[in-house]
Amino acid sequence: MSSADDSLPPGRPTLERAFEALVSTFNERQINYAIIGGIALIQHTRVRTTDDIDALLLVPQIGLPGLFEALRRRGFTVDLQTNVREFLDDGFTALRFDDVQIDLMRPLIPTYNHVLERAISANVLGQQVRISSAEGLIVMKLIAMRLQDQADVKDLLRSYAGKLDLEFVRAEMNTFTPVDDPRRAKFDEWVLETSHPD
Amino acid sequence: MLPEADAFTRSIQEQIRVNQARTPTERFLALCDLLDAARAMAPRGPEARERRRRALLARQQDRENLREFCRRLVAAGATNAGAGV
Repeated sequence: MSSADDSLPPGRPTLERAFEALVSTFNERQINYAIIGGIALIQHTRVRTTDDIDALLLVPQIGLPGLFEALRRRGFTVDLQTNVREFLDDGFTALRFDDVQIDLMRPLIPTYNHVLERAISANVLGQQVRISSAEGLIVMKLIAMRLQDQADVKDLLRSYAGKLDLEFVRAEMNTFTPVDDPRRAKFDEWVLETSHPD
Repeated sequence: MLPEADAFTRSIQEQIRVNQARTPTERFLALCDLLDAARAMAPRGPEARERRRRALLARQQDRENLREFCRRLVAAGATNAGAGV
């Protein structure tokens, strides 16, 4: 009765190896990238469950086959043609490393480019890793605005109460929301709600 | 209602405080520990497995929604013209 249960989250060794392999491939190839999503979030707020790796990356078209080939050599499940086509045509493609899901997205709107530009560096597992700034994560989460994103934005605001560049966030929001978009009022409400520690 | 909400908020703030005292590597390893604990504690019965499968399917759907959102951005010609793609 020891058959593997693939509905379970990945274990530590797999997540570690997937993360190390992804980041070292990006670093070796000098890719302009930022880790986003839950893995980036835990660097800014608190540890919550997340088991996939999301990255935003800017890669010249000519460099895409080489990148995906390098990822395949590192152990990622790659379908070269499909991944290159999806990344170009959809702006999004998914890979696997054992049971870890990796989602790669290209900056499709100027806001995503600004998120890349504002990424910070941190040493994780002995490697320099480009990670989205807290403001960048807030902007990306305001675009998606699923329930988990809303909770994450509040956590980010709590973590950096009074220290965030909210003008950047609002300026970016202006580019993707109309004046009466409810996300604007919601964001202002959360800023107020989280600005009083304890 | 308020005291419970207050307790929840305090718990989150405490978790944030603990995490801020960690190094970036320690935060990553804390996530790994959390996932290991989740694996170890997860019920193994067919019903539990089915629940997890449904959750995975929901996440897959989420991913497809994101793909669709990205496609719409591409179609709208919103791609930032730059050196890369």
